[in-house]
Amino acid sequence: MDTEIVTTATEVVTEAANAASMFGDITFEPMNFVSNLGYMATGMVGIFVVIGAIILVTSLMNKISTKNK
Amino acid sequence: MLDFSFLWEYITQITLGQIIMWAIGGILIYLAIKKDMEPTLLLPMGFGTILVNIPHSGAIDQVADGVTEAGALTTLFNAGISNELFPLILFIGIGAMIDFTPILTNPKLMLFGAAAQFGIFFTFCLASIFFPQNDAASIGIIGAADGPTAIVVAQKLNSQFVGAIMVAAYSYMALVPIIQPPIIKLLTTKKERLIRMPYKGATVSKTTKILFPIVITIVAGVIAPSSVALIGFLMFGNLIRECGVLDNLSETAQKVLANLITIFLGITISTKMQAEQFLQPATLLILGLGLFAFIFDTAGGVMFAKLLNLFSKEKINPMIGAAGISAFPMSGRVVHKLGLEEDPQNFLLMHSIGVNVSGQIASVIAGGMILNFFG
Repeated sequence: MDTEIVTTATEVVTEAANAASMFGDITFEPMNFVSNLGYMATGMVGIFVVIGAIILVTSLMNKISTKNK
Repeated sequence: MLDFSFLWEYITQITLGQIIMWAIGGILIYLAIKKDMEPTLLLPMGFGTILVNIPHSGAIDQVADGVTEAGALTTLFNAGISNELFPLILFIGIGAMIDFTPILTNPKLMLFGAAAQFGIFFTFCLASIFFPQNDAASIGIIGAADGPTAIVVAQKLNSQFVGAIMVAAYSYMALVPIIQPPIIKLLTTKKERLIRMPYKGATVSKTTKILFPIVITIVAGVIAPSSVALIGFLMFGNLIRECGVLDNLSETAQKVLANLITIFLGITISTKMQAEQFLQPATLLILGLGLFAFIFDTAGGVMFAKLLNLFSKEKINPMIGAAGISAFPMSGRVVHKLGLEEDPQNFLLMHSIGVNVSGQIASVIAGGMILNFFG
């Protein structure tokens, strides 16, 4: 039963991909969305880490310059 | 008998695709002149589009009898865009134009700039359904709302859709006042839009202003080395502005240099707008995905502000999160205007411009992240 569902789903996806091939460079690989979510998570965390570091350094610079005054 | 056939020899070679591209070029010129939409770029791009879509145009490389005749625009493209030189030099001018004081007085505003890069990565995931990773990442970066970053990333990732990506990036930047308000209103309640944020003005020392571009370059460069050229050129421009001893250079970078590069950039990018490359179903899809990127960037910033409101005592007007996209200063102004529409006494300008400036930094870092992943 499960194998049948998987086979049907694969056929549907393949048909959709064949239809999409009419559009030249465009493909249709829905699973790519899921497999690339890791990049989204890493990228967003990465940006927050860099921005966080910049906020820390900026706050530190502000504090030092205020003290010097 | 005189032979005048040379007069119509090339006329008969005009294709429907080229005529469509002339129309597209005309639309870009119309939008630039009549609607004042990013005229500095859309006008050269529009004219360049017409220029490169003339049969056997001498402005681009042509191959005749196996011999390549060099065209000026192709030469400019190879000299200034394929090696990312023009966009990076333009960043010096942009850096010289930016005043970072609003984020130096309130560094936390930079968090919204980070959150508003969500659209880039979400669109990348969406685009990867239809395109290979390098093209999908280049399409996602349209959401940076930052033309030079989009060019650098698309070029470094060797995307075949540079022309369409550029058109989408610059068109949507100009359309920020139309795209953002409905998204912001959809995601916020009237009560939230009425939140007032008093501005606590603080002075920033000259030393901090000078150290900021240097420190940012080091911090961003060490963590995301691929972003160092982008962020470095931006910050170099800002250092020229803030150092106080290079006023002439600062003025040149802001005006002459930026204008000169913009002229070359706009007309040169049109080499990627030849009918056979541009008129593909993929172009329409890219324009659609670019719009998605802007929408999700806006949503990312607004939703992050709402999330912070759950934990903070001092409430934030979530609209300022939307200004975290890099389209400067349009996005900051849009948010300020929306605030005034709800409450004529609610002045969000200083906050929204601060967030907008941080979006400039965050979008460059996002570009660096993308290059780290796929470059």
